[in-house]
Amino acid sequence: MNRRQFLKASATASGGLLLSAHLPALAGVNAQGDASQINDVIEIASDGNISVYVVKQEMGHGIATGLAMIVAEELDANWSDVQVKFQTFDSNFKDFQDEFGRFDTGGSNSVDTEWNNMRTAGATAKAMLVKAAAKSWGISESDCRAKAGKIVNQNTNEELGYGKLAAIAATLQVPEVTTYKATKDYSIVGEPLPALKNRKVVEGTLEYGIDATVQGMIHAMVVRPPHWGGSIANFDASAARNVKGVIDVITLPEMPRDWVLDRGTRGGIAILGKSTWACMKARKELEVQWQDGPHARANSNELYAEYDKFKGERAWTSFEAGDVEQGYAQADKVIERSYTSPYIAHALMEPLNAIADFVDGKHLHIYAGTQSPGHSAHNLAKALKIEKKDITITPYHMGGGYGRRYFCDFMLEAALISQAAKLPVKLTWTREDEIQVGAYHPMRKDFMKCGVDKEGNIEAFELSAVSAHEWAGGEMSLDYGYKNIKLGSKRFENSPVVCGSWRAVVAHIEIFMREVFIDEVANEVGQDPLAYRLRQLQRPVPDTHTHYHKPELLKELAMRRRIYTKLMKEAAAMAGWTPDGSNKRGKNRGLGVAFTTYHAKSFAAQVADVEVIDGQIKVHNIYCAADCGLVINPNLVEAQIESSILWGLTPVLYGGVDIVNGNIKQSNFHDMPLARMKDCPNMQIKLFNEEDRMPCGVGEFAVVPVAPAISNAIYAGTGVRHRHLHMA
Amino acid sequence: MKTTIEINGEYVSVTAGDEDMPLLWLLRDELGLTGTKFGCGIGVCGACTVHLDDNPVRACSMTVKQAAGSKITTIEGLKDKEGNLHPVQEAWMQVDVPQCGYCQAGQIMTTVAMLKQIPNPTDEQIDQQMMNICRCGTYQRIRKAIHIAADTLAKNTVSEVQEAAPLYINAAEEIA
Repeated sequence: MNRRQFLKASATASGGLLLSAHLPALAGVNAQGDASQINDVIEIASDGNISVYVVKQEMGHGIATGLAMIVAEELDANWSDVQVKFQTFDSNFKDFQDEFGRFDTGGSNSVDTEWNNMRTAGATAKAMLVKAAAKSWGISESDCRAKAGKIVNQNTNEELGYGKLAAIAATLQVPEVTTYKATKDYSIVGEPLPALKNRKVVEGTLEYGIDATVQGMIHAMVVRPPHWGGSIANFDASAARNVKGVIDVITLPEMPRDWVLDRGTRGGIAILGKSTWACMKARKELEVQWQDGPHARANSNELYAEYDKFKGERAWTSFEAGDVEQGYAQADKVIERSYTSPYIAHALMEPLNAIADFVDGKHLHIYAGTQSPGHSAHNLAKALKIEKKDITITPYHMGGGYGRRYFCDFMLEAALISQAAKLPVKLTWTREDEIQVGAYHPMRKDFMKCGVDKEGNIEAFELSAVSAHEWAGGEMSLDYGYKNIKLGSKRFENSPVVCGSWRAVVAHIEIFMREVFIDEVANEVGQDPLAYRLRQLQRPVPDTHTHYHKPELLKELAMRRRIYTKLMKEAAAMAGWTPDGSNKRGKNRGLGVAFTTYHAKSFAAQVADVEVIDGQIKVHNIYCAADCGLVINPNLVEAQIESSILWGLTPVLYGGVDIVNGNIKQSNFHDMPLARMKDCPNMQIKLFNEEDRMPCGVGEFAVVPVAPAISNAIYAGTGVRHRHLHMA
Repeated sequence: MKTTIEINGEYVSVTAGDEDMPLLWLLRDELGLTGTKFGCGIGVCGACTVHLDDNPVRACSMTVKQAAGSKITTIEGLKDKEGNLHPVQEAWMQVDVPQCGYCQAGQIMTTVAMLKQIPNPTDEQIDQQMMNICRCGTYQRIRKAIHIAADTLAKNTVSEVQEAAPLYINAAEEIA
């Protein structure tokens, strides 16, 4: 439901201007009379300092700086006057009750959903400052011009700083603004400005959730059953209680979860102590025997064979047109392959943690880095059987989000412990906890089939995906041409572990498999993989589909293909690869290409330059051409692409996690390594905005082409084909 | 038994019975120096890197007892007496290295120590020495910042030498 928000102005106690955003009350529903507040947006202090209030959560992807830049541009602020403030999430906000609200940060959708809100706020504030100056000088508004934090009298060149004008502006009516600056006039948006928080990072003073303290708090750690569904058979806490600094040892119940988004908790034994170390020391002294749960004999290496049983089963057909069987019958050649991807952990550098004050069992205050204050509060209310209006979440910078911090399990545990202890509790997870109690990237197997005509053009294209998570089969959409298509997926119901969103989510796996398959098809029909893709992108698709996407997707196809073609050619040019030219670079060294979109917003093509040396995979170069619409900050966009490339590289070189007899085998970085400096390829990035589009999110899209480009490059260089995501 | 450690120029006493506590938790929980981070607890990720005298050590894997009598520098103690950033911190700002930022104190501390031993590292030496994990993948920028910092530190050393040189020349002229 999209009620248009409007802005309201008020004066601050210290002579400043505060602009806040409101949603008008629904007619006949809300008896509040006046609209209730959504959130503060801009505060201009009397000394000229400008605070931009951001509802999105900062996990290092630069969204706070980006959104502030959009405001500052329309406001014509002096960038050095601007700081960001984060909002506490509580019942003051009108969209508080929404299950997925504005505060929730994920899906690479922050910049495009906040773009208009932030532009409008900045432009509105500027209009009010202009009006205030005109009033102050007794001249017309058209004789006033905004420039870098001041309003200039065009006739006399007199200036009034925004700070001086704030109090007058606060008395004025808020105008409706419908025009914005032209992009050619931008002096802030489009500049490679550094992220605002980074001075504090290099000084060691940026506060993460794990650094926070609350008056009167105690510490806690939880020892959990080693697998979902396991429970405590018996335990002896006497040695643990004797550890200096330990306050108490209590049990926690398993909390219900559903398989979509709410992860619940496994329950276990909570150690309460006066310090983190007391809890860490005491947990080693705990003697526990665990009761096996139903997944106690699961082994991930056997699960792929289980997945084979579901080949062809489609609980969910996302896309269908024509008749693939007829397509195969008419095809000159039929190619069939299968691809696999393991469970993968998140391994955020800042282990999960939360401070909870749930002393009265009714009002909950959480202090934590979280991607989803709104959605978490929604689930916490359900799980704890309290009112959502009685939950407050104070957010912190996250030492990594990546989809894991979208879930509230660690907050739920902290709340339960606080309620039992009748004190505020700071719960810290160890690295072992974070790896072994995950919301994993799902294990998946895709069966793919393609029928081609004599020229190698795709007659029929079919996907049957089996995934431990129900999100599958929707990302293939329309890209390459075909006559007949059938895409569908089945969720593997018996996953021994809970799955969730892992950076780039479904696209990461689905497009890996598609881009390797297309490469194999190109090889089978004897065509250069780059040239083959470019040709198949021009092939027609039928008009009739049964699919869950909007019908507009068909109209979008022409734009997508233009962008893909441009980006692939650019990436290839960076790598020195011409279509129908050679993609071999030396003995056991070759180039591979892959492209993706992310929710049809941002697009990336990558060429990987990979050599296999004594059996070891060495990624020398990644060339990335990307189109994310209007670039707010090229420094931050490139940083996200670099980040995404390393993220995509880690599972290729080091794999995911294994389940052995029900338990996650890996426990820390000694047995679950991550990509390091020595693994880092030389990355070259070029940004485009070919279709003059509005800004689109960049947090995830560049993860996707990495794995397929590497598999394709290894094939080009060595003739060895990797069909499993973990290739080393 | 009293344990004293010098931390960022101040002497800190540790209560008896806590000698087996990792230095990391003394810094974070007892002294409120939360710039040094907890990442893995087994000395592998490097987020807890501090300096013991001039050497990089992993605070999660060194006990308070082992640190007794030593001089410890944390990220908070890296600035000079006037409050200026260390050239490595400046280089980090120039390249805009951090993303989530959680590993960066450890990256910076490791770099400062490395540059004392290897003032002008090659890329290969950087690969071997920089084992700290960055989950956000800022390695390409870290590498660039290391080269910039190495350059800056070399220039600072040169200018120190140049300031000393006139005395030598005067002395030589006098002798002549």
